[in-house]
Amino acid sequence: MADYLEMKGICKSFVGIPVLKDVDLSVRKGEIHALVGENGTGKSTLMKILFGIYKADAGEIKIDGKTIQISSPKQAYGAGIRMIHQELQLIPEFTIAQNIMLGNEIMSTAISIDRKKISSYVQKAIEQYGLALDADAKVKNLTLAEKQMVEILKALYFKSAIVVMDEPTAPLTDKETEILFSATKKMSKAGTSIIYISHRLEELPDLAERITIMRDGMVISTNNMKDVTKDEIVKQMVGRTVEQFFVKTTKPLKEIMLEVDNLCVGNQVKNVSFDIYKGEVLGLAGLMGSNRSVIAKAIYGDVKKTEGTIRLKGKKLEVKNCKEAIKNGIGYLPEDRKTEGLVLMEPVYKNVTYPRMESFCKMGIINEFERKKSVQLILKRIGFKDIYFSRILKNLSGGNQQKVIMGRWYFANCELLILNEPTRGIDVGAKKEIYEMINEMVSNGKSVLLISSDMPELLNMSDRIITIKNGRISGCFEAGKNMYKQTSILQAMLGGVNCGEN
Amino acid sequence: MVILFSLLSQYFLTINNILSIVQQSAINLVIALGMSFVISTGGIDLSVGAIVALTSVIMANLINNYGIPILAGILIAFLVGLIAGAVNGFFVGVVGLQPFIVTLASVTYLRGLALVYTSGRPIYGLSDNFTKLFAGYIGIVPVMVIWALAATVVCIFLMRKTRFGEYTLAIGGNEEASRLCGINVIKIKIYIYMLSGFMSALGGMMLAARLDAAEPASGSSYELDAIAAVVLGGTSMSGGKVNMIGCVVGALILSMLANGLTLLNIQTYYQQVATGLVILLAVILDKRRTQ
Ligand SMILES: Nc1ncnc2c1ncn2[C@@H]1O[C@H](COP(=O)(O)OP(=O)(O)OP(=O)(O)O)[C@@H](O)[C@H]1O
Ligand SMILES: [Mg+2]
Repeated sequence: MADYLEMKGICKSFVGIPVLKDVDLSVRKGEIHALVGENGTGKSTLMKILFGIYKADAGEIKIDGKTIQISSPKQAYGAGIRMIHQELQLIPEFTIAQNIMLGNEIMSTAISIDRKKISSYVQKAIEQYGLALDADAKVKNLTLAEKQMVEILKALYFKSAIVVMDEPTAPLTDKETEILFSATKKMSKAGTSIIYISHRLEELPDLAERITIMRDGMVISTNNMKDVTKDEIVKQMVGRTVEQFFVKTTKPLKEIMLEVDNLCVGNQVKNVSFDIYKGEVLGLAGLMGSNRSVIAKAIYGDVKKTEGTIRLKGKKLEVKNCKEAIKNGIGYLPEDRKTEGLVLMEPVYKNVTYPRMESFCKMGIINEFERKKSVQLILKRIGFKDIYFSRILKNLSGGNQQKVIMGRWYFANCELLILNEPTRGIDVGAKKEIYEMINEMVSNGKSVLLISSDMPELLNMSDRIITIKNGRISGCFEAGKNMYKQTSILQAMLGGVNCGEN
Repeated sequence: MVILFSLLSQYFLTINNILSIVQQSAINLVIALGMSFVISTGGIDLSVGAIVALTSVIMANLINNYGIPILAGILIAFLVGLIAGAVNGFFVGVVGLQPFIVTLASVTYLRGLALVYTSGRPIYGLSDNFTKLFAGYIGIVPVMVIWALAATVVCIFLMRKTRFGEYTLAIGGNEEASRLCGINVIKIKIYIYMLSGFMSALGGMMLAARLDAAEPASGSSYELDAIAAVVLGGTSMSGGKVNMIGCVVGALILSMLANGLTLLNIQTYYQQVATGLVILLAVILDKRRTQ
């Protein structure tokens, strides 16, 4: 089959630093083509060039044999290209329908928009994909996974020749991932070419026909998916083998770190009780809309609990806001790094130190020397080169932003750290790094509450897992017991209560 | 507030007084409507007062001293308003400077131009037909009220029903996302500042007609009144969210306050203090309500 899209000899530098070096990528018509590589290899940059956001320093793009110039997203649309962006690009105050149709409004007269039609068309599409969303709901009120589905729908709604998906599944649970995959396969059968970027390597064999692997801004290889194993992919990505992915080194202690008793938050969270021991990793599993994040935010003081008591090391805890939570030794790594976590216009080292400013402040004056010195150690720990030190966050790759926010909470040295999807969008090598950080924390007697949609991660890192459904606990599982496996946990996430047997 | 004033002063709720409140708010309302669009994108237009002054003196000078037909003079004034707005929009949209700084500079040079153009002297005595057109009466209804009403209807339509309005809010909500959706952000921004310039020119015509004079120093601090009306109406200064009806109510509240306090014989200095407090109070209430 002939190549439909050809990118040849693409080069790109940012402020003198080369990011893409002579990259070739070709995609066939109707093919699902996986694109993988470590964080900061230039995958997103390459796709942004295709989409007209950046201009390549050299190289050419051919579609269907014809060389074309794409210098703005508008032209990319014209050429039949759509993109699901790695960072959500939605208008919070707009409804789902408005967001999906933005730029392609249906008009009732020459000048006025037909809101009814827009909303009913979008509602129909939502139902077609089997999603439970209301087309007239405001996007700002959605959960991250729901927002991601809107972002996906935005690209799938219109028929297009090429769809770029930049880590579309990162915030999704299995159920939505399945919806996306079946839609993607259907599209490719209808002749749409799909470029699929992901760090969840295990989802690729089922989906993609070919895979291109990148490292340090260069293409290492393009293969048929069925000709390479996961280990080979990893090896080509990071340049070495990564073994023994999950190692659990310590057992939890007998002392209790956190007691949550009968926690209620409005009608979002109902009568939730659990304990976390010192040195323990407690996993929290739940589907989209299960409100597992609300539980975390209630402990962190970001949402007000309406009922219940929380005790930290036996002492009753009444945190009114996040600042007090941090003072008490509780940290929270939020789910959406862009809106909840990072100050995008500030450099890496400042972002790392925000929760612990007082450790190098005297009477409100910052000791910059101390600050930089301590940050340098942390950055090494999360595998950052020194050139990143004062880089503005906005100019970092998505995965590297995630590392910064993880570094921040590692640095904060909390008693209890709540991690909400900590490895979202992170490459295999760095994942291992983060698992080691978690292990190190619990071996020092600290505790971790781990919220994750990544089942292998959750199963392997946790000492116990509780499942949440509609804001209630629907099951709890202990590592080592025979119910501690993916199928039974999924079952508990979907339905029945499953606490008796442990 | 209405009840309070009507209890304290028997004149407050007479038809004449109500009409006069609406009339007093008309100029501010017209300008505030344009300002709503600017603020919805997360921008601000400080130059509205200066455009009021410049357009009114140009119009008056052309009609009075050069014998140009009234309609032509008015048309030119609106054109000047559009151009001034387009220049603001150019620097904000194309060059990418901050709206606050761009329009702060515009205040100074536009008012400077108005002073240069008239050598600093006001132009008194405008043609009767002109004053009738913008500040006359039809029956007991002041024409200004009709202009304000028309402007309100048009602006609400623009904001709620058209692509232009949709994109205005989209840009305010997330500029990058809007660009990625293929929206021409620069073009929309230029249009928005042009709209604000146009509305200021309309305000300039109304003010000149009401005073029967065009003063190069007129319209000072109009930008603050307009911003106050927009904010009172519940529009967010950070963009992405607008309340056009609220803007109308905001403008009415401001002039009602001034009117009521005057009827009660309260000094203007105290009125200013009261107005400031009302703005704060209203914004606090709004925040409470939306949380
Ligand atoms: N606007 C920019 N200015 C300067 N440097 C940038 C800019 N955008 C990206 N970079 C740099 O280019 C490199 C490649 O980034 P890119 O986002 O393409 O990586 P990626 O492969 O998508 O990684 P990830 O898997 O983490 O998403 C990174 O080192 C990043 O810091
Ligand atoms: Mg990326």
